[in-house]
Amino acid sequence: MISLSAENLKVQIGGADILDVPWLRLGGDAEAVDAEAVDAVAGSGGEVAVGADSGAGERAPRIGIVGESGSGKTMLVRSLMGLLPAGASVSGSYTIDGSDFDLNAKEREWRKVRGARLGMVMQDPFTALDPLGKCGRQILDGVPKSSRASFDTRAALAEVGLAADIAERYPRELSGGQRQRVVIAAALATEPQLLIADEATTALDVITQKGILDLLDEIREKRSMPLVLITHNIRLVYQRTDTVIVMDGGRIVETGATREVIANPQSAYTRALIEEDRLLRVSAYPEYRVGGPVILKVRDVEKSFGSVRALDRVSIEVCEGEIVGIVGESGSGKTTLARIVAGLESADGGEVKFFAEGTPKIVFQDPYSSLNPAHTVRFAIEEALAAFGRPLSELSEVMNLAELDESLLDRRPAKLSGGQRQRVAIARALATHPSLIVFDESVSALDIATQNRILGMIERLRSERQLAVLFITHDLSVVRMLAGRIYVMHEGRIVDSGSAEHIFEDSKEGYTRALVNAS
Amino acid sequence: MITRWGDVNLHGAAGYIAKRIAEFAVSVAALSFVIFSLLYIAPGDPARSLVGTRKATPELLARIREQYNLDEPFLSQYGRWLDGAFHLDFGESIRSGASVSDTIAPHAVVTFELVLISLAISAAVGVVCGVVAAKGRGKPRDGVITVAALVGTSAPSYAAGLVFLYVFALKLGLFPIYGIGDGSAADELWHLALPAVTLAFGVGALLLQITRSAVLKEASSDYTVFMRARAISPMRVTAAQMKNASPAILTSAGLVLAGLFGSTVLVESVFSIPGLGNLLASSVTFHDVPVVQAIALLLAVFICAASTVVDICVYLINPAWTQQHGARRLGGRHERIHA
Repeated sequence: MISLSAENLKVQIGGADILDVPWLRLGGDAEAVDAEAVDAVAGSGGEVAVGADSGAGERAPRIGIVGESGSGKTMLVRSLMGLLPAGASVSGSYTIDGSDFDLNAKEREWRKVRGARLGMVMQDPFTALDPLGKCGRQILDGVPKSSRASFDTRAALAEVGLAADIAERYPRELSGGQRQRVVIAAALATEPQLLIADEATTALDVITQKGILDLLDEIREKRSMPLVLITHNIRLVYQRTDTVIVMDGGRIVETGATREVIANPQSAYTRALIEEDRLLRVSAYPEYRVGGPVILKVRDVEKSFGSVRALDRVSIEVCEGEIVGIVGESGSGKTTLARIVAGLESADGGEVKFFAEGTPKIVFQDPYSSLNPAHTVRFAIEEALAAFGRPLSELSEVMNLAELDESLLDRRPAKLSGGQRQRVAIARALATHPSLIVFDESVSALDIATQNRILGMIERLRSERQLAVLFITHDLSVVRMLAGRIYVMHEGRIVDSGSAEHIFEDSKEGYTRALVNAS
Repeated sequence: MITRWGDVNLHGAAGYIAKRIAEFAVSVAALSFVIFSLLYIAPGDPARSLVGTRKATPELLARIREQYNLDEPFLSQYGRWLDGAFHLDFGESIRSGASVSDTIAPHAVVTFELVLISLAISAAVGVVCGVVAAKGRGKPRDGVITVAALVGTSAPSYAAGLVFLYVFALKLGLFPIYGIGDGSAADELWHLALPAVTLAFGVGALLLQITRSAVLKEASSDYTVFMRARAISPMRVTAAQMKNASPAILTSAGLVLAGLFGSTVLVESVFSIPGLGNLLASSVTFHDVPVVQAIALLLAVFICAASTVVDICVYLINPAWTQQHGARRLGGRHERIHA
């Protein structure tokens, strides 16, 4: 099994340290990682032995690299593959299977490491494939010359659970999960000795995620190929890896056997990551509130786009001061429902009644595109105030509500973080004194810590201002934290509904069970 | 039933091509109407406009009114003119009395040759240098090419033409100074070389910049990183990038072609080439309205046809690109034709 090690690995971009790793070992070298893992598991007593691999020494290890976005985890693996962005400089020593490799080698040299030694699966299945190449051709492209004659695309597709006819299709004709399987097949076609999955499931919905992670694990075992999972999701590391490297600010802050690290974290950062994970942390379900006046009533709403039935007789209710979650995978119709409630789309049938003053407001998923890049924060919020006839003096009140610092007033979106931009979008919605705000995947693009802070703010707005919230997401852990009542959507229909506790604990609905089990 | 050809769903492709050809017909019809109206938009009596620089005797005016059916309603005159245009019959030149088609034909041939040669030069040089610059981003060759492109886009074509004329024709004597030669193909090519290079100078630089930025955009794409991560040969990576960049490059080449017809007036006059630009300029001066209308319609049809062909090619390469950029681009193109 391949083993990699690096010492004094440093990456700089524009003079700033992006990565500073004094020592790192990855791969199947029994001395380096597995022995450590086995020792740690053995040392931690019986309680972790249940899920731990009893024969970790023989099996290809599962290694997790975990940290928030910007922690340097992607830079770390990119530097080991010579794929750093233009302008980055790298230094340090690097050893592959005991022989030294120059981190500043030419492309020609790196091409011996990439593919044949290290394979990579990228985060976004929608952009990782050439949009104009047939899937079969793209898989074949990476096959080494020596095995090209005997390469069987059909078998390669079968290995990742795809039908043979996918070879003749273009990426745009496939779903996200199918594309990611093609990406995995393409990465495997180069016959790598170690596979790095860089946030490979982050862009996918939970059920598809589970399928991809199971597939990666199956392949790891079958090929005896170590697997490195890079993720911001500590729960995923907990469920799927034997050893873990925790990264923060370009440094490794903690490393060891996964279960040991999670049971007994040594660094404050690891503790914070675990604390932030909403499902690892045991907490009470949000209160299920009943009895407030109904302010939104959606009855038997239908909507089709061409021959696609986006919504099929959907009925929901939202009461004053209540947070209602709508959960579903992509394509379930939840965004169409959000747009109809917010008046951005009209229904083909059924009725939408809003009993409060004004109109429902909507906050979108992407904080990067929902604000005008030319406008300052002040302009954006004052514009919203003016449009609804509110005095401009309410600016600071709105900023306070959205927990935005006044020092940000004169900044433009480019100078704001993702969380700050989303707060500006929320402030614009709040400027109109709405009774109901629809959040459409509004925190999905943010890291977990920022998500949690914004979710806390939404809960405060609810309790202090009796704001009603319709929270639409694919992420069960978000509604688990926030919503007292939940609707589950699947293929344009509401398939289940009830209190959060009912949905998570004792729903009999098959789809709900599948969703909960996959998360 | 699903029929496939290459990456294109045939129904979708046939539908798009039919739609695009219909748009072509509508554009040409609208432009022909505007062009015909020129006669009436010009101040004064149309009959007097058609007199040109001749002496406007009452007899002549009466004859012109009869000849051009000026007493008929406007739309029926337009109908007659359009009907004639379909048969390449635009009436007679006011200046020479010869048939407009016969007057224009030799000039049109020269200009089309000039434009096509310079398009070929600018596309070959611009695209190749653009790719080389993008591939060597940050290296000296990128700097040299980028600066050269900047000079190319900023230098006006008549100034560049005069410099070329002075250096290559006058001082070095490598090329003839004016005209199109004795009629043999080789001699004509030799005469058109310098004007074509002059014309290609600016547009080639523009194509270079567009190619460079289009390829750079592809070079930073995820699929490029993923191809490199699989050790796929640099040739294959470049080929994939070029295919993805080609809609942007093709579209700008279409725009460049329209621009070339605009610049040809200046270059033809610098090199004394008897092309459409020269004919158009002198016909405007002589108020030779039928010739001006015919040239304007010819250019409009040609530019619309080129833009249609480009759009269809782009669609066949990448239908998704057309869906994203189609409407906006079409608007821009048509504005240019009026300009």
